[in-house]
This record gives sequence, structure tokens and C-alpha cells, in this order.
Amino acid sequence: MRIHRLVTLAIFLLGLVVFDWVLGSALNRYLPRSAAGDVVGYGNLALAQPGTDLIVLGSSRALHQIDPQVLKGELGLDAVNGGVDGQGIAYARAVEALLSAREMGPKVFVLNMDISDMANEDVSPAVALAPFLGENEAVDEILMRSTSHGYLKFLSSSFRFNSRALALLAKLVTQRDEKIHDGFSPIERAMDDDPENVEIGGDWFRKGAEQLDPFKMQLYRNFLKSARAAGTQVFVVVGPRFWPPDFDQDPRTAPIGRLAGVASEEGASFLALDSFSNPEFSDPDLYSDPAHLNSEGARLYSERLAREIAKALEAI
Amino acid sequence: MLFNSIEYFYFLLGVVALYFSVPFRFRWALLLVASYAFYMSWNPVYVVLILTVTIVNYWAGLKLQRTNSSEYRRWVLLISLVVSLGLLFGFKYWGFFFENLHFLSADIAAWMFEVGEGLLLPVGISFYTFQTLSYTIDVYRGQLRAESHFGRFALYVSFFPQLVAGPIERAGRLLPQFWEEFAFDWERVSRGLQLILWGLFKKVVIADRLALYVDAVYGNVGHHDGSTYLLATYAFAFQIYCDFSGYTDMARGSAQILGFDLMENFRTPYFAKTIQEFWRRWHISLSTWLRDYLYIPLGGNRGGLRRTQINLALTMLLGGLWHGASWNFVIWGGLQGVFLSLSRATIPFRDQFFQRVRFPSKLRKLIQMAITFNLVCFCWIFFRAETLGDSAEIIASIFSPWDRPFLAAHTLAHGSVGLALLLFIEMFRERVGSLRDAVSELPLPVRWFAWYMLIFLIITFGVDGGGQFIYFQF
Repeated sequence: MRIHRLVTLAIFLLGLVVFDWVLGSALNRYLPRSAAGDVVGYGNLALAQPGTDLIVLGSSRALHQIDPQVLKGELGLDAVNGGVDGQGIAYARAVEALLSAREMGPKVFVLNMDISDMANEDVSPAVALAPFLGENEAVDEILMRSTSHGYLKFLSSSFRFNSRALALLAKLVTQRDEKIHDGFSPIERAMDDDPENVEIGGDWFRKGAEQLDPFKMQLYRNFLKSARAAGTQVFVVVGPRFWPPDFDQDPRTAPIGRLAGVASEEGASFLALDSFSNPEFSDPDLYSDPAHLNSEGARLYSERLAREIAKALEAI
Repeated sequence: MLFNSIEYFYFLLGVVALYFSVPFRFRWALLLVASYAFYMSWNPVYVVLILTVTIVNYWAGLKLQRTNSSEYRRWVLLISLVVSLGLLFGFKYWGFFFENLHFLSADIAAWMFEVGEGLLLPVGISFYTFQTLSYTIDVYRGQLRAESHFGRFALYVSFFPQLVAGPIERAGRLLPQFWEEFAFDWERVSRGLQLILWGLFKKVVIADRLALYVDAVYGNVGHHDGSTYLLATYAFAFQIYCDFSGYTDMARGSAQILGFDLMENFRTPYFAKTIQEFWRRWHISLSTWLRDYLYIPLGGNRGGLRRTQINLALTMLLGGLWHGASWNFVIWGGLQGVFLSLSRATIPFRDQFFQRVRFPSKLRKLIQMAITFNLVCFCWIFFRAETLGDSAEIIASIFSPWDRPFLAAHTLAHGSVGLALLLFIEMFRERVGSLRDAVSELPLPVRWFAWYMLIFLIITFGVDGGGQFIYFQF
């Protein structure tokens, strides 16, 4: 009786493994078609567009603030914005590693950096790239840190599509190829809060240069190193934020200095546009909230960025 | 250690393996050690509290059992109540109480508030306090024999599956089970695992997913329109139901694997047609506790309509306060009390009305369900909002002209898949019976396929690394 039960259990578990493999493989097959769209996000937009000259990577501050069309107009390079809400250097490094390994690296990366991201050790948002597990060592290392007990969870092929399966299945049913656009998503609204009393939130901006997360600093350095080895020019940028009147200087100065130092060591260009040394970005009407420029601010920022990149490219 | 964590899976696996390996006479000790380890995984220091409550109530039970002097018995009961409720007050209500005592002396109130400020709320304190109180009161009333085995009594207070969020078990039901010897039973283990799986589905696929939307809306009060608040409130209704009933299912499933039977805590509550019926289906272990140890001792419905209404309101007000130390919970409980009283008082008029307009009974039931659900959701606004001001703003927005709603398509689409399955299963349960029992009658391949589907819905639709259970904070 007991043996019969154990055999039944073993068959059930075997069925589970087969079911998992079949489901995971089916979802994997449809993955390339999920490159764009608001449900999946622009997570692998960069990966889906081989031959792109310039790729913007970063968080919401890249996604909403850097217009590829402005860059294209100024630089004459095909550009896409691969910024994703909530992502940071871990995600950027993983995308860069995948592109380099596939020899699909662009001519130029614009890497938008956030001190808020570099000041904490959380790399969980990068789990979005789980379908690419096993493709590259650097990606695997990030993925294993992106979720607790990753060694166990990633044994499941279908877990790699956690929270993405619905969008993939929807595409399977509708057979609809979404038009892939340049990824830029400007914010139209103006800041609701009173600029005098606006809340910054958190204390990440007070963290000194030495308090940046060591693993993320390593990812940042590896990004620059690997891109350079693949022949890609990297422009590291730190965008402006709105600071209330009680701030008389950008509190991110020390960590920004450290990022600039690493960029210089790895042969990358670095550009920080704070609103104190660039007063045109101190106007509250250019922001949707203290952390994000709105569409008008994004246009100004993109134009400025394009000019700076053009100058740097000329110098190279 | 959360039920929806891999750590708990390892923990349960280890406990089950050891439990069925050791001789029966040591099993209570094993479960006691496991339960204390489980509790200490949150904050080891607070084990002192649960131990104090256990010792005092164990002593009280024995004293009550051994003496006939009514005055002495009253003193013993009083000591037990003062210690148990005193600890609950000190750790849960101290700050709230002194924050609201400025009319006495602002300085004293502020000082007392500061004294209690460093205290963290111990997980599950409200649950094990009520569970222990029911034991002592039952012994005092002569409805229960005191437990003489300290270890088994300590296990009754701390049994890990239901320690931190119930169900609030009665000693008369749970304690005798600790004296029974259970052999390993495949069928029972399988049913326990099925319950855990279903609870996990409700927690990670529905509750944690809807929480993403609810948190985004309720965390930014003042930045959304009325339709968004309404949608988020409906979402919260299902979030809290799936979060709490999911926890309960996992608790019951874990206990079932070991051989124990914990009480049912939810019975398709959103199909209730009146508020009274809602409370017979929602958090049953608390509502029956409040009925037996508060409402009935206050006089219940024995003193006429007005007295009954006062008793109901008072019971629900305290029920609200049991949830948390804030005016929002007081108002939530108060509203439930008001709705219960009104519902009770208007039954004859409503019956008359429906008879006069000759409503088809099915339509009448639907209307009653919709009204009850919306009343419950109205109360949930106070339960979920951070402050009274936020609650007021949300209600005002809902009843003002609406603008464009904020729809997190990805989140709501994922949540809807889980909700559709939940609705199907709950409707099946309401009309036919347990779907689990129905599935167990099907041929093996179909049965397995159903469980595979549930497992893969959890894996692919669940929120990885979801949050705490809402009721852990109580």
C-alpha cells in the first residue's frame, strides 16, 4: 500500500515536471513577440531591435525623460529608449550583457543613472529578465540575487514567466503583432504639489559616496568595461531633479562624483545635469513630480543631452 | 516566517517528518518547540509575553477548577483577565490611548505616549489573548475542565498553524485533539496539501496582486478620482478576503496534515444577503467569540429592541478596536454595529416591501447581496485608509463627479484571472457544494490536471515575494 502511494506520488511529481517544461517551452517560444507593449513593458525592447545605433537604458527617469527622436535628429543615429519603470543598474547591466553576448551591441549606450537605485542593494526588479536565465553568466548572477531562493524557483521553466504569461498568452490568442515604437513615454501632467513644500521622500539623497551599494557599483563598472570591450561608446548621465527651496545645493554631489570617477577610469563619458548649475532645470513647471521631468522638461533635457553627446562624439 | 514563503515549506516538511517519526508521548513537546520556534522567528523577545499569558491562564484554570468559593473564583478570573488584557493593552493600545488623552494633561499624555513608543506590536497577540481568555472563561463558567498538562495547554495557546492569525480556537475543540494519536494518513495529508495550495492561490494570485493596485491608490489619496477609489475599494474587499481566508486555509491545511481539525473561518461571505448573515460567514471564529463572551454577557437580545441594538453596537465597536488601535477601526466597528442594528430593526419593513412589490425571489436575493456587499465595502474604506481624513476624502470623491480612472491594466488583468476562478468556485460552493469534493470524484488524470493547473497558476500568475498577511498586524 505504502509503495503504491509512493509510486503514485512519484508519477504525480514527474507529471508536474513535464507540465512545467511544456508550459515553459511554449511561453519561451512566444517570448520574442512580447518585446513591446504596455503589459510586458519595454523590458526587452532593446533586445528585440537588432541593429539599433543608440540605446537608452535606465529607470523611469530614462523612460519618461529621454526622447530618442531628439537624439536621432541631432546625432543622426537610430535610437530607442529601453528605460523601464522601477529598473536600475542591475537591469541595465543584464541587458548590456545579453546584447554584447549576442554581438548585437549598439554604437552608443546612454545610461541614465539614479542615486536612489545605487544607494540600496535591491535588485529584485531585474527578475523581469528571468526568461533569459542561462544565456549569460552575468545575467544569471543578477537573477539569482533578484529573488529569494532563486536556485529553487528557477528550476521551474514556467516560473521564469511569472507575471508575464498573461500578456504572452493574450498575444497567442489575438495573433497581434504590436507595433514596436521607440519606447519613449513622456509624462504630460504638471507637478500637483506646492513647490515650496514638496516632499522628496526617503533619505537616499543624503547618502555619501562611500555608502553606495558595492554590488551595484560593481555592476556599474562591469557595464562600462563590457560595453567598451564590445566597442560601444557609453554616455553616463544623471538627470536633474526638483529640489525645494531649503536645499542650496544638489545633495547627490558626492555619490555623483564617485560615479563620474568610475566612468573616467573605464573610458566612458559622464554628464550630470543638476538644477543648481543648470538653472533652466530649476523651473517647477518642467516637472511632473520632484523626481520626473514632464514632457516639456523632457524635451529640454533631451535637446541638451543630444548637444552634449554630439560634442563628445565629435571629440572622440 | 510567512506561510507563503519557502522557509515555511521547509519548516512544515521538517515538523511533519519529525512528528510522525517520534513516539506519541513526545509529539506534544515537538509541536510545542516547533510552535515557539515559529513564533520566535518574528521576534524572540516576545516569547516572554506568550509564556506569561500561558502560565497565568494555566494557573487560573487549575485554581478555578479546584475551588468552589465564588469570591475566590472571581478574583482568579480577574487576575487572568487583568494580565491577559493588560498585556494586550500595553502592547497594542498604549500609544493610541495616551495619544487621545490630552484632555487629562497634555504633558502626562505625551510622556506616557513616549514611554510606549518603542514597543513593537507582537505578532498574533490579539489572537492568542482571545483564545486564552475563552479557555479561562469557559473553565470559570464550568463549561470546560481545566487542562492539567502544562505542555499541552501551552501548545493550545501557541499551536503554530493558528498562532498568529487564528482561527481563534476554543479549548473544548482543540485541546482534546492534542490527546489523540494520529497515524500518518495519505488521504488526510493530500487533503491538507490541497487546502494549503488553495490558500496559497488566494494569497499570491489574488490578494498580493490586488494589493499592488490598492496600495497605489490608497497610498496616494488626493491624486485619484472617485471611480478609482471605488474600484480600489472593491479590489480591497477581495484582497482582504483572499489574504485572510487564504491564510486560514493554509493554517487549516497545515494542521490537517498533522491530524488536527481547525474550525472553518469563512463561508463565502460576499454572498451574504444581510449584515447579520455576513458576520455568520466572515471571520467566524471572532464573531462567535464576540457573541459568546461579549454580546450574550451584555444581555444579547434579551432586553428589548433598544437594548439589543446597544449591545450589538457595543460588541461591534469593541470588535473594531480588537483589529487595531486607531479611530478608523473604531469607526469601522461602529458602522458594522449600526448596520447590524438597522438591519435587525428593518427586517419586517423590508419583508413587507418586497412582498408588496412582488419581487421575484432570485432578484430580491441579488439585490440584497449587492446592497450588503456595498455596505461592507463602505466600511472597508475606513479599514484600509491610513487616516480618518483619507477616509473622508475617499468617500467625498466617490460621491463627486468622476474623472478618468487610474487603471493598472497589467495588475488588474492578472487579478481578474484569479478572481474569475475564485468566483466560480465560491458560486459552486454556494449552489452545489465543495468543488474540491466534486473534483475528487473525477478520474485520476482529470483530477491531476486540475491540480497542475492550480499549481501553474500560482507559479505564473502569483506575485513573487508578496507581502505580509494583513491580519498579522492584529
